[in-house]
This record gives sequence, C-alpha cells and structure tokens, in this order.
Amino acid sequence: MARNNRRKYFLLNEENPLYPYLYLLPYLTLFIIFIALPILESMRISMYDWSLIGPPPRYVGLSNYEYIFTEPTELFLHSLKNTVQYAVGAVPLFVVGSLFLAIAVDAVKRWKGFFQISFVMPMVINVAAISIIWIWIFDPTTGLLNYYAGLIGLPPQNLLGHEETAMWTIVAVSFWWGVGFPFLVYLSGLQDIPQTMYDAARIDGANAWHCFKDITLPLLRPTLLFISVMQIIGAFQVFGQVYILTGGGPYDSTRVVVQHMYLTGFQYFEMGLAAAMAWVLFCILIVFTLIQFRVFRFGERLEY
Amino acid sequence: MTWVRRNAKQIVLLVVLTMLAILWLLPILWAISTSLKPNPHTYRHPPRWIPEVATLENFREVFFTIRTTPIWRAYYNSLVVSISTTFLVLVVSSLAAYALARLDFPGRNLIFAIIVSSLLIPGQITLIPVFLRLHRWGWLNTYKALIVPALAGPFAVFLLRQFMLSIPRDLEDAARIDGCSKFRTFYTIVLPLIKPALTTLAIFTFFGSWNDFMWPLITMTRRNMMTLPVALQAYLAAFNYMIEAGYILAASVAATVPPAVFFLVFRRYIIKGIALSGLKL
Repeated sequence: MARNNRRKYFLLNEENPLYPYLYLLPYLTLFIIFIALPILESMRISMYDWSLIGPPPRYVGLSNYEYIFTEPTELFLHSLKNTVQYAVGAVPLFVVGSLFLAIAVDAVKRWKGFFQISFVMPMVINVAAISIIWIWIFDPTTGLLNYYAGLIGLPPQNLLGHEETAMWTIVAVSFWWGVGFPFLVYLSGLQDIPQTMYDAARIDGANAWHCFKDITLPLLRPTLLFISVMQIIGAFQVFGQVYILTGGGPYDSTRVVVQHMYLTGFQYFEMGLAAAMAWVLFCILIVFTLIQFRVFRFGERLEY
Repeated sequence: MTWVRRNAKQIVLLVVLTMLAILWLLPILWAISTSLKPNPHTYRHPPRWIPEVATLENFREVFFTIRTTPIWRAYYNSLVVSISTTFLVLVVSSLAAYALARLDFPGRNLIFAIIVSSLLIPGQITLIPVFLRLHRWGWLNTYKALIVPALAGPFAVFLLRQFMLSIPRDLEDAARIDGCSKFRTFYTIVLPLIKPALTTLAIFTFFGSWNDFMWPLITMTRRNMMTLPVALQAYLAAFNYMIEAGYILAASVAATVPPAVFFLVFRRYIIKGIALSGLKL
C-alpha cells in the first residue's frame, strides 16, 4: 500500500527531476503537434505536387517555387504587387495618421473619453460586420456616400468596383477599422513623456513644432518603430476585409497574397503550391520580424 | 474675444476631433438605422437617419433564419469557442511560463529558445499542415478545430514568462520557507501577481478568437458550426443585397452591438491592456 502511494505520487514529488516538465507537458505537446511539426511538414509539402482531390502526392523538388513565379497568368506576382500597393497606402496612414490622432486627443482638454471611445470602437467589431457596413455605404446606387456626393455635385462613384479606387478604398476602411490599436499605444507613449520636459522647453522659448520635433518624436522613437513594424507585418498578411469587400476584384486588382494562397489551397486544393506561397511570404516577412524581435527584445533574457 | 484667442488651439482641436469622431461613429449608426427599417424602406432616397417606421422584423428573421446560419447559433458557436480558447490558453500557457521562469531543469534555455524562435514563423506557414492533420483526424467542423490549435501559440507563453521574471522573488521565497509547495506558490502567489499580464492576454486572446476569420472560414464549412464572422460573410450570399439589405445589416448590427457594449463597460481594462502590449512588456 505504502509503496503504491509512493509510486502514485512519484511524479508529483518536487524532488523528482522530471517534476518541472509536468508544467510544460500540456503546452509542449500542443506546441509540437500544432507548431513545430507543421513547420517541417509545410517545407515538405511545398516540395510536393500535393492535391487534396487528385492523385497521391508526388515529389517535385523546388518546381512549385519556380511555377508560382513563372506560370503564365502571373497571378502570384500580381497579388504580390497588389499587397505592396496595400502596404504602401496603409502603413504610412496607420503610422502617421494614428500618431496625429493620438497627439490631438492627448492635447485636447475636453471629451477625451468620448474621442477615445469613437476611434477605438470599430476595433471590437469583426471584419465581416465592418465590411458589410461599408459595402452598404459604398453601394453605387443605394449607398449613402453617393447620395451625399451627388448633393454637392459629384458624379456617382463605384469606389469598390473600379480598378483605380478599389485598393485605396480598402486601405481607408482598414484604417477606420484598425486605427484604435496604434492610437492607444501612441497615446500611452505620449502620456509617459513627463510634462516637465515640455514646460522646460517652453521656458527656453521653444514653440509647438520644436517641442514635437525635439521632445515628442525622439522619445516616441521606440513606439514608432514598434508600430511601423507591426503594421508592415500586418499589411502583408491582409486578408479578411479584402476577401469580403471586393473578393479580389475587379479584374484581380485587389487580389492579395494571402487570398491567392487561400484560393490556391482551399478552392483549387493545390496544397503544394499554397505551401510554397506561404514560404515566399515568410521570406518577405522575416526581415521585418527580425527587426520586431530587436524592438521587442525577444531574446533579451534568453541567457537568464 | 480674448477668451477665444486664448483658447483658439483648444477650439480648433475640439472641432477637428469632433468631426473625425462623427466620421468614425456614423457608419455604425447608419447600420443600426438601416437594420431597423422594413426592407422596402432601406434603399429609399433621400436617406433617413431616423426610420419612418421602426421594426425588429429584420432581427427576428436573422436570428431564426433557415436560409443560412441563424444568428443565435453563430453567437453560440463564437462564444463557446472564444471563452474556451481564452480560458485554456491562460491555464496551459501560465503553467508552461512558470516552469520556464521559475523552475530549474536541464534543457530549459533550449526549450525557451525554440518556443521564442517559432514567433518568427507567420501563421500562414502552419495553416496547410494543420488543416491536413485536422482533416485526417476528422476534426473539421468541430469546436476542437478552432480551440485546440489556438492553444499552441507561443506568444502567450513568452508574454507570461517575461512578466513573471519581472516580479520580485521575495514573496515566493517566503512562501517556500513557510513550507508552501511549488504548485501552491504558483497558484496563490505568482498568478495573482501577474494579473495585469493575464488580463491583457485574456483580452487579446478573446478578441483574437472572436474576430478570427480565415481559420474558421477554412475549417467550419457546415452552416450550424460557423462562427459569427464566417456566418455574416455567408449572409452576403444567402440574401439578396438589393432587396434584403435590412436582413444583412441586422445580422451585422446584432454581431456588433454586444462587443461594443462589452468594450464600453470594460474600456479601462481593455485600453490599459493594449497600452501594456506596446513596449511595456
């Protein structure tokens, strides 16, 4: 009986060298099954002609990678270009636009809470709901926007239906939806700058521009870098709002990389090609992720 | 006049910010307004912000529709998935973080290094292998498909470990001297001390799961298993946008209002949590 007890509690004994692993066990199992092994499998799949519905997978080396860059429709390159276009519009807008918004809300003396709520509120709404709300507003015939544009004499626009405007419209909707996060991070960064620094500068005769340039910007530099990198990484992974607002159209002018990968993998069931696309995306993102690592100091206490 | 001049900056700021705030709120108000109108009224020009006739008919239709996922069902799916994911992430990750931060064992640094370096890998990489695995296991169209893979995310472990390292050890040492077991130390001393990090993590995990779109779009293809974002997206196909806009907007509003109210009630915690996620790890 006594022996039985000892055995039963052997693992729970703190002196047991395996005891710490008990805490790790649940997470580590999940990590191996859903992160570590899939990373290796994904590399393997990307080297196979792997169709979910066709013949069994066949090893093809690196030709999936070659194919996505050279196939005649050039859809992957095209969606890469579109993604870059989205990033070119969205990243500066998010980085600079939300900074100005945060500075304004930080400086205003009344209704701070109301402004904060207004700009952050859309963030808690899911991507499908915000897309539907905006589709309704942008609708070329019944939409609110064209009605008011018509009142001031503008011709009706089909913003989401035209190649020249569709992507920029997606950028605008994305900003409306996602401004809350960078806005709040900036705001808390601004609130950490001691007021005495501004007071001292004022006594020395500095104007608002000098204060901004010589105090706010340098002290916000880490925050700025953090937001920039976050936004770049986010922009290259944009999917939901594009998928619902335009579905990649018109004429593939808003088809983005993740959407192209989604369609390749889950509409055409070409798993090998889709996996190869994911690795190309990884190669683009890794540069920015590494910068993020440095900003975040991910590895800082590695040698603890 | 001097008052105006002295406060000119504040007045300009107020005016500009108020206009922007209105721009941010109007789309939501317009959606609410449309969702209350009978369908033939929704596309009438000039647009009426206050419905001539207000009705809850649209909501009744989408809550119990048989054309696609009823909203009550999508809500139920989303709540089950988000709440279980959040709870389990907190349990699994805090246990692992405690071992990595406070317990001593061979391989600890290596394991931590591997977990941290997996943060370099974007989610799209694991998407296909995990999908194929769940397909093999017959997990598609089950709650497990959304909950279990989400527990493996390395960021939660990383965040909690860093936070645990930043709290002083004195309390834990005192507890040990008083004969407190390691698990009780973890449960009664460490967990309460890292509450701010747990709150942040809970908020992020909950909203991340609640708003996730791509993964449930891939794994939940059966109507009665769809979460809110996927179900809403299906509404665009199931209803005629021109003549049934009221239904589609009612579904969106139904999905929007409760999270918005939740945000208003817990706004302090949420805002603090987001600020904390910035650089103050």
